Amino acid sequence: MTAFTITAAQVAPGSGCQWKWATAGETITAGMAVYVTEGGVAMKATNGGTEAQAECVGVALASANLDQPIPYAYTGTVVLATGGAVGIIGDIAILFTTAGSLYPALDISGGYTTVVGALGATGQELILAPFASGIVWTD
Amino acid sequence: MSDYSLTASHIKLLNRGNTGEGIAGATVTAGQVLYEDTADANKLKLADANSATAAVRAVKGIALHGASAGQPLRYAKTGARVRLTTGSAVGAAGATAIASTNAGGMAPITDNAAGTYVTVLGTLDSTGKILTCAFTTSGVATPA
Repeated sequence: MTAFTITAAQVAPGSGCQWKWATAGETITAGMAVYVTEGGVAMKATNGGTEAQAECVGVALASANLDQPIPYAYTGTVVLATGGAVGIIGDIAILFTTAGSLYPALDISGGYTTVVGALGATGQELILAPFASGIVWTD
Repeated sequence: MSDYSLTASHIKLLNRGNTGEGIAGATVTAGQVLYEDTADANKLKLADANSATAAVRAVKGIALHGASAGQPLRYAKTGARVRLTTGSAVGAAGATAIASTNAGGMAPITDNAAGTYVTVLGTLDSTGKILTCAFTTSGVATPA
């Protein structure tokens, strides 16, 4: 299983990107997938924990430590890299067990199926379409 | 100028409101002092108290988290109370903090030296750990 390699400093809002603010509940780095609690606390999303932890709402656009504001993109496009593709064009990005990381859908081997989006025409940008199925993947 | 030693992960806004947001125009760390570059799409960059450019000395806020160029950035404005540390005091109780001649830094006013354009950031509380923001850009250089 290989996560998309994302360099935090290269993450930026792309075309049509809209974002919201939350309070970081832990250290979060730009480019990480997040879920947000009812209290407005952002945490790194994972498909290997509870269903709530798999309810990804978007991708962090900057970095923050505990209790600091954190912007997360919830629609539009997020630039993940500027130096080359992070994956195959059109790859579906999903959550995996490593909290916050994005993986190609072909890597899924268990846990909740949560789609975060798809890589765009250059393979460097993520077109957001978060969808938490609430279903555990079973081979 | 000897800046306050800040740990980015300790920075925290203690009261609601009194914040603004923009886009970072440089790599910014929580606790760094910012100005708004009107010549570059109003991006937020590191303020510098001895810059020859007045705009660079005009403090806009204090970063509340980290960001790289092009990323959204939220900052504390006048009226905000910002925790600077969870450890030992960063400065003397009641000290007045000013923008530093080191880009993005903040320093005690007692470190002010000739040639520095004084911009007051606020005052430390009785513990020396919390800054109450009250930005005042004097535009005046300290005489020799």
